[in-house]
Amino acid sequence: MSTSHEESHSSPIRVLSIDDNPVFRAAIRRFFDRQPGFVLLDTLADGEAVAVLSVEVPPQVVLLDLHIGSHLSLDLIQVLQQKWSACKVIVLTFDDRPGYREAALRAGAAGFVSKLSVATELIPAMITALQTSPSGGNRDDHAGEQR
Amino acid sequence: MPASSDKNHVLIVNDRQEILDSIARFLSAYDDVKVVGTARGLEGAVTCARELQPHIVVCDYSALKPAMLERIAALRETLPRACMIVMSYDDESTEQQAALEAGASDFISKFNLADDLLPAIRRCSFVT
Repeated sequence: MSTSHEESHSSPIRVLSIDDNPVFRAAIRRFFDRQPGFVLLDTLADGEAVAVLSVEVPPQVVLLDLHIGSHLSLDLIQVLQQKWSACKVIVLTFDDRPGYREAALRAGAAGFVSKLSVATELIPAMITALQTSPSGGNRDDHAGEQR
Repeated sequence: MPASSDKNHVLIVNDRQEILDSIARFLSAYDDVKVVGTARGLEGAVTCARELQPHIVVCDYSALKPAMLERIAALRETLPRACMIVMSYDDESTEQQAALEAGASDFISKFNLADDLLPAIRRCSFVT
């Protein structure tokens, strides 16, 4: 079976991270530095930065912290998908209490990963998310970016 | 050490409440582990350690810096027989080596706590 990820094996998957914890942002940068096949475009501290972010090519996957400050960030999923229609949003969190996963998926997230399991679950979740849409892994698909 | 040793008594130290809560929730699923306390900084950790006498301290690497030797020594003075598991996003060998040389019993990645934390606790288990 051919997948969007397999088709784009020569182009790194473009990732954006949104997380209010600077220590985590630095750590996820180092994590992707060691992941062949993925490139972290940027790390943002909050959703407001998304509105003014200008990237040459849109991210294919956005890693979104469930809690930014004292607020749930699920409303941001729609904002992200309006800006980059093809992007997949994976919600990352330490807060895996019952109900949050379902709420994230209902809000449009393509995946939900506990921050306790980043090493083993994040990359598979991203690949699965990209496989759900033929446009997800295509580097040349800029149609979703609204400038 | 507490008289009751049917479980591994664990104290968790991290500066973020969401991480403390998450680890405590995760460990609550295992019968051989009891989280006896959490602390958001090393000063609080030493106080908690004195009061709660945990068997195992799971401590964030950043809470131990910059004076890691002195800080681990402070915990060791309070809990001479306890195991100290250091967790960090940085799993570089230099940091691991520094923590172990400073007196840590084990060093695990915060990106893989779901797989690595429980085995690390059981490796230094006080439960017989």
